[in-house]
Amino acid sequence: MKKQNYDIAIIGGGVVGTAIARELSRYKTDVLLIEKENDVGQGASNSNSGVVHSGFTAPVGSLKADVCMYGNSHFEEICSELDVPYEKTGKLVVAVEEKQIAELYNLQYIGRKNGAELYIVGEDFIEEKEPNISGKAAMYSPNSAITSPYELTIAFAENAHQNGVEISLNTKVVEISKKNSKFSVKTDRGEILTDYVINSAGLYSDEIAAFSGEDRYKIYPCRGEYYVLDKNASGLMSRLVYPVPPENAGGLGIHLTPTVEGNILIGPSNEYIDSVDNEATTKEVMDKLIKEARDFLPKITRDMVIRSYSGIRSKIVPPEVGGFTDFVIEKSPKYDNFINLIGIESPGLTSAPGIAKYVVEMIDEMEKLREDKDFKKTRKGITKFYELPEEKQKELAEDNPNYREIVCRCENITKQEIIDALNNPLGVQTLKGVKYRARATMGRCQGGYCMARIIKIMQDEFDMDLEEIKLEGNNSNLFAGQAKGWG
Amino acid sequence: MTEEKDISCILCPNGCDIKIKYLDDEIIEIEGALCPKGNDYAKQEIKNPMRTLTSSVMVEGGDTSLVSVKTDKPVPLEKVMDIMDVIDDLRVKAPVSVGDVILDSPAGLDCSIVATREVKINI
Amino acid sequence: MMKKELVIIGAGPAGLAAALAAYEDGIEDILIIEREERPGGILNQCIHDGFGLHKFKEVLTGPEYAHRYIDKVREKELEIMTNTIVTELTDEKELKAFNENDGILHIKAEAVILAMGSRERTAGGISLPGDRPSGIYTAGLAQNLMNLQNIQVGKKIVILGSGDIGLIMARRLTLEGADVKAVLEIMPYSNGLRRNINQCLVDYNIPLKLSQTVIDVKGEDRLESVTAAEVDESFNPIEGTEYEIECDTLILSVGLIPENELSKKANVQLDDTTGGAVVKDNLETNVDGIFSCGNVLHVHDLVDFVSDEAEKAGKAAAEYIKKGHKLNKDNIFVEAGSGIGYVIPQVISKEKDQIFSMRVRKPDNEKTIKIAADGKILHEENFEKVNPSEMIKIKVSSEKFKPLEKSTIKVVAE
Repeated sequence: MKKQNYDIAIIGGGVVGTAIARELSRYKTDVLLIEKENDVGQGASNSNSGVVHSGFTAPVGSLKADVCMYGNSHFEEICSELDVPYEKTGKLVVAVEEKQIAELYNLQYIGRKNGAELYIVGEDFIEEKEPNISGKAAMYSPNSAITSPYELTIAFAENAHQNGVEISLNTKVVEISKKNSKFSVKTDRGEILTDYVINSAGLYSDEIAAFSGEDRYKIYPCRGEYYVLDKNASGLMSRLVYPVPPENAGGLGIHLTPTVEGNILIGPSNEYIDSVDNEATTKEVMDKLIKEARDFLPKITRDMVIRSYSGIRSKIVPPEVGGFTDFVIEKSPKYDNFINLIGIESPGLTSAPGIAKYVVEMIDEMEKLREDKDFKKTRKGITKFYELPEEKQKELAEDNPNYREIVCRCENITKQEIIDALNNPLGVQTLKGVKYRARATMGRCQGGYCMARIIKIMQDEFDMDLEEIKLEGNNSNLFAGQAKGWG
Repeated sequence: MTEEKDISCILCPNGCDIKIKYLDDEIIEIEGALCPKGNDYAKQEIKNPMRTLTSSVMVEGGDTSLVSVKTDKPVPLEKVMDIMDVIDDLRVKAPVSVGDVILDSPAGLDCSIVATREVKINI
Repeated sequence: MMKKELVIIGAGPAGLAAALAAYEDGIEDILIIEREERPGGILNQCIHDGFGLHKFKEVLTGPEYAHRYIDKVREKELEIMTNTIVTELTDEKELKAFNENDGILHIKAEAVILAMGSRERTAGGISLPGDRPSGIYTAGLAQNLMNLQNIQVGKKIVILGSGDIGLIMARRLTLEGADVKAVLEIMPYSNGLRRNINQCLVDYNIPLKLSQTVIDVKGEDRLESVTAAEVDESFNPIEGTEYEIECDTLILSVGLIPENELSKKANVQLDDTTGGAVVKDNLETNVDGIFSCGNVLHVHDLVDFVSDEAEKAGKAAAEYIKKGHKLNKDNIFVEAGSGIGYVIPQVISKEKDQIFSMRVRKPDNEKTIKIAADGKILHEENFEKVNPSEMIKIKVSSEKFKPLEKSTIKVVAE
């Protein structure tokens, strides 16, 4: 942390924290974003379905419905400002049995009240639009979309950073206390003073909230496991395909999601677990994912799977209670200028822009924020060479030999993109950092081909030592050292 | 006491299963090999197993940082690690051609370490 | 657009042998495209010995075996374009490629030989459960890092899968000072060559645990341990047999997948069992003038057989270029019957002597492999021992096919 004093400290660099940081960077105010991991988006933000929801599950009038609707209608614009992929694929909520059809009308009723555009469609429509999907009827939502959740989080952070927000990675908050008129935020890397604290700590938001005298909420971690299918399977469907939400399960049910990269995701499961950081996957659940996915899409086979992963929802009700709970975004009972965001789970990605706006308005009410005329709303991401038309490719390759070398052959990523990823403004230089920024290692060979090459670029172009090259976390060293000449 | 041992021959992909009965150094019975080399191999295995060691050695100034190497003849299995120790910190200068002798008599053994690939000078 | 008579994708053992064979048969306008810095393919990282016994009657290391072919290719001055990656291939035999010198390249070929080899099945591909820390590598990647980039992936190792690369890496890692704790194999037998079990595991006292697999992986950042368990006949873990192995590295040797992404783009028909193309007896695919050989066609256990197969593809491509395509109406389809995993080629003509390459489904003793059609046995051969890890080749003379009426023959192991 560069300074002693800040106006506002945001705790948590997930999609919500970074969206708030970006929103605040429109104003003349000193903002510090504190993230305990060595990159942004390391919690649920990196491991969700990447869906921009159209808002038909949250009850009318709820905060969740409001911020979700705001997000849905602004997402395309935000993604275009921030150079983040966005695709309006539309969604089908499919009734596989006759008796589920009534529930579709229920969903449509809630959704329309929230302002979503929704239609009930029959078997013919499903057959025509998604011939591989089996269902009796469906609710069709044309405004549902997909994005890249990691690229978005990174883009929010980079845009905020470019507009003056300081981002302190690898920084863990240990204690927050009131010191005169300010808050003292003690971290494992020193102490700062700030006028406002925004607790956007996701799975740890209850722990952070406790520093503000807020003890009414407890996080119940709820894991969602996913399967990723090979791009070869992408022809099987092109829209989001969801089941009718299972009753009282607290999740949306296992669904099929096309990704902006061209894969299909199966998941997530819904498992309450004991520990907030247990991101394991399990055989039982993975077997279940395949089984349930095949209910909609019988052509899915196990050998299409290239990866499994899981993310953890921060729920604020225990499994035995279940049902709907709204997002909690409120001033702490003790201090007005300590804002807690608790229980931000699905549709947290869609809602992030709305939440950011909501939080900034809360602050603006307390302290008139002054607009920063120099605010730049656009941010340029890494040029995705292979997506460009050939003329443009030739032009780039002409000037820069690094565009002539394809490093990741599954995703067709050039050496220049790897270098760009390693040169990111946040200074992240892990293998996963490259993955989330340039997509390398994300394909069917899972780095089997490109990893050795990326390592070589890290060594040759960035002078990194073998022993300091990490997968993701600070202790996730990839290698033991040199094979020869080691000792 | 006579001893009995089952040995899978490693000389070729046939991988013959050879049964050998012996008393100290004396072979009493041997069967299962498809060729005479197999019998010799089995006898050697009883006495003193021999292996060709393959590894790599660091290269300076080459277009690659390692050159793959082997012992030009089989060496006693029990001596393999001694050779590994000797070549761990060894460095050769590029260029290297296939068959070049990298080191004679490693660990005092009757063999040479030879290159199994070429390494050009890095330009 | 650049024009070439023959383009070969891949300068590994298959591509090199195919090029030389085509050259021998009179084709000189050949381009071999290689994505690595140098030709040789996977052999460059296979620094162990055991190659070449069939082909050269001597034991060579991987790089030496490759060198024999590279030398000849250089001598004939055949063009190898290295550091070049082919990104598109059409059924009109048009290719798009990238490299540092030329940028984007478009090439039109009269014939194409697919020789791209295979890739490794990954942790994701086998749904490895548990955490996803660093320290999990496929065996071939660990081999590449160690033998080409001088990188030691870890110190305390568990290997899952006893395929040859896994066995070779068990020894290699041990030689470089790592402690290889065990090799786990889910099958009741190893998929590696017997000599590799002997000289890679037995020599170094590394335990091979059959009918066991990894059921959990633990490690928040770097791998800390794996949980192993015995499995039943349907490969489900048996409760109560779990045990934990402390390790910092898990090496996966769980199979190779023919790398047919380009083939798919060219509408080449693939065989679900092999993962490679469906080929005729001249190794031509369903697409006129596109041939396939080596590990991209089916995964081989011996490079010598790859070379043989590639020579056949090279000759066939040469014939195609010189004489154009001949339609053969007397096609006979070859099917793998009971006890047989797959048979290559899948389509033959009655006119030629045939060599069938096949794998049995499980290891066994005293088996007879029968090739039958029209309710009659055309050919049979007895085997004292059969093993899925060892490819079986059976030669059948064309005389046997000529009287056939039915268009399908079946190969079974009984």
